[in-house]
Amino acid sequence: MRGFRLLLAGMLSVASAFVAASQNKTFEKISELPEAQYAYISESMLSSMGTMVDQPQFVAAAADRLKSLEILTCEEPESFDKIRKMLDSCANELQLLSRMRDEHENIEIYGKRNGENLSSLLLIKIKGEPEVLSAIFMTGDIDPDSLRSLSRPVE
Amino acid sequence: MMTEHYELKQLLNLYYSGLTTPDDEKRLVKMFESIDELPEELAADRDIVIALAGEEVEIPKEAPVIIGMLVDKLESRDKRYAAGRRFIAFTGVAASLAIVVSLVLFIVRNGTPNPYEITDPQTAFNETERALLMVSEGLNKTDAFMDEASHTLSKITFIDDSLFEEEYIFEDSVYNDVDDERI
Repeated sequence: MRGFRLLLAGMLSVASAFVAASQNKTFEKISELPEAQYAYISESMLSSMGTMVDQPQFVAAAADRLKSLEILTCEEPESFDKIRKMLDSCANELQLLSRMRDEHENIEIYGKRNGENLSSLLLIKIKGEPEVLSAIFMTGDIDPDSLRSLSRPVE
Repeated sequence: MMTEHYELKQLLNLYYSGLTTPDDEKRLVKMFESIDELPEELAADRDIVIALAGEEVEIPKEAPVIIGMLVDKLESRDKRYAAGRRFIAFTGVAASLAIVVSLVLFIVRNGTPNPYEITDPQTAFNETERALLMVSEGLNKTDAFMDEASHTLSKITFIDDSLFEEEYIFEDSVYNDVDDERI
């Protein structure tokens, strides 16, 4: 019985490591569309940014806490609806944190809470003039307040 | 006397050979109990025979039923244990296979390079910076939007309730006194 429990614990830890290292399935599907541009940045690349000299350290500090970063862009407005629907499958697994819509852009932010921080964050932005759909999915130990401070003007 | 001793010895030989009937054994016990002068060499045999004779144990009538139930219970318990051992063995094999398959898939997936992964550090840095700033601006814009909405909501005031403190009488109100003469 003890041996069986050890086997089960080992199997679960391997499976969790396997799951944690995988890409977002929705983004992977969208990346196959010819009109979409997709980029994936791995944890090893993100954690190595701290060693890059002559670069703003605030980026490295924020990137160091991330496990993965996936960026999706589309500049063909005819495909926006299709891609937006495909992104729903990812958004439905997360909680809507905030949403904004005005004449220039439409922004939706989703996340999965992990205590005070987020374990994953999805941003979907549709901008007009020029019309661009951007989607960013990041995982890791995400502190929204730290992220806000990146673009806030220094008082 | 000699005949009695001879018969006793004959019975003893049969007794030790396991060839005595129950009646022979009873007779042997009686002979040991009633004999006057027992030779010394037979004293130990007497003690053994009398000790082994003992009292007959009374077997209850329901004993065969009880024993049958006990045997059935032991059999079913053995079957359960056997089934449990088979289940544990099967689960162990399945868990081992799952671990091996997971490890193989993990190694293959991680070994296969992702065609969309940015491998140039400078490009990765630029894209990361762009993405983080976009997320940051998004968070700040939505926060500002929410703040503006909250500010607008806070400006809304409700109608002054003092209007309803007094009863206003209107000419066409149903609460006016009914003009019986008009009706």
